Amino acid sequence: MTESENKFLVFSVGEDLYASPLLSIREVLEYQIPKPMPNMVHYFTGVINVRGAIVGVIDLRTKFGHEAKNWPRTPFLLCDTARGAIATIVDSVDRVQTFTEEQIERHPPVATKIEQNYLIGVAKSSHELITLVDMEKLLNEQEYKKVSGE
Amino acid sequence: MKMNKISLKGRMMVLVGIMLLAQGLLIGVAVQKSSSLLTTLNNVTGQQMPSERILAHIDMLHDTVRSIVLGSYFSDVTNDRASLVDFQKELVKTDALFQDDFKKMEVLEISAVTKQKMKVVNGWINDYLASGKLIVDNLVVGQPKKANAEYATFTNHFKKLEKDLEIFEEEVNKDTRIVGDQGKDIVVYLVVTSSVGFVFSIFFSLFIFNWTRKSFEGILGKISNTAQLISKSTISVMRESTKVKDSAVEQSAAIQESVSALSEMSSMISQTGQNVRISIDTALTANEKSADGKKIMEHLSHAMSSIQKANTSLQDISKVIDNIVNKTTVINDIVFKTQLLSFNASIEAARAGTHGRGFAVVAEEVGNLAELSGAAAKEIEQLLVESQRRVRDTLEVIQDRVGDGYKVSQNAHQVFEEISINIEQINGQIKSIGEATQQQEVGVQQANTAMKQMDESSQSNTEAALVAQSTAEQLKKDCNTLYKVFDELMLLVNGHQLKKINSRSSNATAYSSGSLENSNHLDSSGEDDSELQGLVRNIASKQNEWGSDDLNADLNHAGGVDRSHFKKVV
Amino acid sequence: MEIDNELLISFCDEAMDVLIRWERICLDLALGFNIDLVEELFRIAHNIKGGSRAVQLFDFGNYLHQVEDVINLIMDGKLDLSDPIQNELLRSQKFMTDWVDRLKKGNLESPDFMKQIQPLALIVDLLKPATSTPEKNQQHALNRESLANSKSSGTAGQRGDLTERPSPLSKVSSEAKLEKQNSNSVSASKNSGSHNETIRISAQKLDHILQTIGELSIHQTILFHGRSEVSATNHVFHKSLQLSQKLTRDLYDKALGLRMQPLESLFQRLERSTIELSRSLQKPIQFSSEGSEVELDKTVVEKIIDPLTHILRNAIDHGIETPEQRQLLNKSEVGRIEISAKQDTFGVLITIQDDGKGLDHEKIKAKAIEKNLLKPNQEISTKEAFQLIFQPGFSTAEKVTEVSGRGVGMDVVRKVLEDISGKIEIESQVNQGTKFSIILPTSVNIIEGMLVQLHGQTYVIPISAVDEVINVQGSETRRIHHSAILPIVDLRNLLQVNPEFRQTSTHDEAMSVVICLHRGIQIGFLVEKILGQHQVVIRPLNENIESSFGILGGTILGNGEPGLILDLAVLSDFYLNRTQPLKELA
Repeated sequence: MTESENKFLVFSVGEDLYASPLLSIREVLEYQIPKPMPNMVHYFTGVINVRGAIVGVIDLRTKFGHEAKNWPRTPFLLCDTARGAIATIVDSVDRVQTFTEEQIERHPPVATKIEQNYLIGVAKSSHELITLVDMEKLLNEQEYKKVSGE
Repeated sequence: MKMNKISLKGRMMVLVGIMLLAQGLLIGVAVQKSSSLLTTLNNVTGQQMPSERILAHIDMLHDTVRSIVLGSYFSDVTNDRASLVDFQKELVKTDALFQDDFKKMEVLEISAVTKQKMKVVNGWINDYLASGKLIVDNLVVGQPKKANAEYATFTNHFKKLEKDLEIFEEEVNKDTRIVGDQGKDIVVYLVVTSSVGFVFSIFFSLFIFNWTRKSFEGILGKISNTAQLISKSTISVMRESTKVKDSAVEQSAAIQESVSALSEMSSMISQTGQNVRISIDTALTANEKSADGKKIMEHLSHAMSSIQKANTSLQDISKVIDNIVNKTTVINDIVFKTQLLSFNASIEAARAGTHGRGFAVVAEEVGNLAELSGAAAKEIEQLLVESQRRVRDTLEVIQDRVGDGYKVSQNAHQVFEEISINIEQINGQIKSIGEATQQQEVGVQQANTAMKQMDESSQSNTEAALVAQSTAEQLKKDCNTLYKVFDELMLLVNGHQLKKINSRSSNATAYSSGSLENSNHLDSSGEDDSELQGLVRNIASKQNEWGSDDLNADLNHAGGVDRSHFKKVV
Repeated sequence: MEIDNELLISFCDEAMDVLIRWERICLDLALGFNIDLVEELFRIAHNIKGGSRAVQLFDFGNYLHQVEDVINLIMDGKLDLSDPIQNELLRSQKFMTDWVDRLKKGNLESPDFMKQIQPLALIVDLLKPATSTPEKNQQHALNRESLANSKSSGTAGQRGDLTERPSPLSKVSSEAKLEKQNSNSVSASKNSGSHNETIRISAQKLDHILQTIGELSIHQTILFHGRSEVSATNHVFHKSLQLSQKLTRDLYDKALGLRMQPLESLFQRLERSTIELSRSLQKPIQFSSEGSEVELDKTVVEKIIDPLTHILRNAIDHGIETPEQRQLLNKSEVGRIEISAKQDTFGVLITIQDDGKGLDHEKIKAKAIEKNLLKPNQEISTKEAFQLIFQPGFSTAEKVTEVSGRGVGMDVVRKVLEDISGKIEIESQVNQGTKFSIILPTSVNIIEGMLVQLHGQTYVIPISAVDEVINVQGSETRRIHHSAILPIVDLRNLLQVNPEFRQTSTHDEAMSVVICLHRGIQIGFLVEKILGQHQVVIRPLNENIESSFGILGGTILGNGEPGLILDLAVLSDFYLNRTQPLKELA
């Protein structure tokens, strides 16, 4: 476990705190109004311009079933997936935190809203419970095209 | 009435002509008739004589013949042959004489019937003679028996002949008588036709005369009407001119009054003018006072606005605070961006692995600094908000106070303005009054002049009126003269009823003079028409008096026509 | 040291040019010794030296002096142009290139050239006879001078004599079917000939011009679109505008054309890499290239250098077997690398072909399963298998070499290619070889786009897809147009977006219809407004979003917003077929 692998970026979605390994995230971006893209899933908000590249935007809050409020400082998390870059909207980015192994519980018995695939575990830090997710995995699987039933 | 258009001369000519023609015709006819009668008479006479003669001759002859025959018998008996032969010769001679006579008769102008009869008679005569001859011859020859046989025939013939001769004689006489009758007829006829012609001439000439007279009277009537009109007009003129004269006099009097009134006005106007000047002065003074008041108000206003300016500076302070607040927003943005930057730096550092360790520290520090800045910025913001609030409150208070003061001064200012305006208006009005007064004066002057002119013209009017009046009178006189003439004419036309006419003419005179009087009377009454009509009726009734023979009736009728004509005109 | 900047820049530019030539000469010399080339090399060195001294780059000059000495020795025959020497010459070229680069960037500090010089100096000292007579030295100097002063225009000299040692490298030029020498000289003359026809322009200046032209083009478009505001009776204006539009377009096209570079320099680089690699890996490789005259946009060329180099490296490293292995397989000892470029209507096709061991798709599959990129029983075609090597982290190399094997290369290659709307395909046969085909659109990534408004947002429609534009009332659903029924399809219904973005318009608003002729049928697409026309650079969408229905690509609009480019062909097909209801999209 290298040092970098213990570093997490802590962000909040709704009332909950999440964290993702720093390596899974390319960059944190300032908010842009996404340009809507037709015929995509409902949590696909649109596309934005990231230094000349067109990147799709997923609203994690909507995806996780929270209310999506846009205020000027809503940040994007830019992640690279195998299929290209994707940006996700979260409610706020709080800090970079290093978790020690002790703090991380790899297989929590708690059932969360999120699928187990990309769930790394849960971390405890000063009375807070932080859900550790792997953004890359989270975003890797998705098909954002609208399909029937969605 | 076309006929009327034919001139009198013409009519006369026509009349004469027709009369001549009629007479001529009549004479001619009479002459012709008498000449034919004469001829017939002559014929008859000529006829009668010869015819009588002849008849007598025939009578004689036949007597002769009888005697011859008888004689021949005698002779026979006596056998006086020589006398028989003589008798025969005589018989032949008588025969010849008969023949001659008949021939003579044939020549006579006798009627065809008579001629016919004559022929018949001639025939009988011939038969008689023949038989006579026969007898004689027989006797000559000595055949007394044959002669005797014949003698019965002869005697028949002789009787017949006598009868026939008588008849024939009667016939001839009848003819004569006819002619005589004819003559008588002609005379009667002549007499009748002459009378008729005469009567007709009389009628015709009367008719022509009347006709002429009517036209004449018509013209005269017109003349009369015209004269009437002239008279009326004259009367009017007279009336009017009198009126004019009167009114001119009145006018003159009125003008005099006006002149005096104007002079009164003039003096009043000058009085007004003086008053105006006084008012103007008063207004000016008032204006000055109000201007002073305004100045005072303006000072107050300035004082207010300087307070307002102070207010503005406070507002500026407020703005500055706002700007600062905005800047803190900028700072906050920067803080946020810095945070992001620190995150990104951390990410990059993590990627760089071991090489990025130092950088990671840097990133953390940056993050911390960002937080500190953020906190500080927040505090600043709060302080600013507080200050902002305080400033605002103060501002409000000042605003209110100043606002009030300002309002008051504004109001006062307004009032002074209004006063000033009013004074201006008054001034203006006064000025206009002054101007009006001046104009009045001018007007009065003009009026005066006009009055004078009017006076002059009214005077000339009066003179004119008088002239008109006299002219009218003259005219009236002329009119009367005209009437007289008219009457004369009427007289002439109606001609032979001298007396009546005279009375008429006197009436006419009375009429004309009456008309004059009436006209004077009319000055006041103005009812000339009915008067005229009355007079006309007068005349008409007078006319009625004049006679009842046809001619008069005719005249009346004519006069009546005239009257109606008059009426029409009236 | 005060150095005049302009002079310096122009020196650097000149130096770069001649250094390219230097490289070429070295590569040609690798095929066979040619005294003319060597002399030319000498002249180049001498020129640069003079030039560097003129701009007071004395260190540079000194360095070059040493190089000159070496070349001189070669000219005198005292030094054989062996591989190491050749390498050295190449290396010095690289060194100098880097140095000039630094100078251009403003770094006037001389690199540690002493280190570089050392081997050269050594060589010189070793070979220069200590007993060289002054006359000889003078002779040398005179020779140098005469050589320096003579200006050869690259005639086909016949003075070349070959070295005894067979050169492991050979270059086949397919342009001339002459013998090696002739072809050498011919290619040399050809290359030098082509240089004389050029004018050196600073790339920066050109970029500026291009930028300005680009802006002009945009404003021309705006102007052109504003022409409806000008009275139609103003004929002079309209004519002029028409002409102006045409000229601007021409200008833009030509300007873009200016950016076109022949692939020659690229190929030269690849050739050099091949030689270097072949030397370092001890694998004799024959390099052949074809189609170096094919031109590509400058940026494209710059971008594909690295991917192509990477592919080349892979090919040489992993593809081409060692001579021994090849012998075992009855292949010729000398491996072959063939690079070709061909211009097509669609673009440029660049192929890198090796006759190495080829790709084993089974192995690839196994690796993929190992890396969880593939499910164990998943069936994929060979082609798909080959595409797997573009996955990040994928490498079937047993060991990581310095050159390659990290597995971080191929995915980058694909990414880079995608960025410029290029595609890469792989054909391979085990033991036969592998062929990488790279298809690059010439400048398809720049299109004329018509900006339209839908849901209040700006979208782009390629002008090439638009037949005509007309105005309609919002409520029309069909209309007679050119004596045929024109169905009017509301694009907003086809392109469903999340409700918060949706906008409806009142039905009687005047709107525009973009008419597209698809498969001979005209279809009108209703848009809210036509906003303008723009030249637009197509940026490919990454996989996450590329499958969006009816979107053929993206671009960055003038205001920085991303703009989605609509694929009217797909939308037309959808409308015409309507095999699926709107919710389900293939």
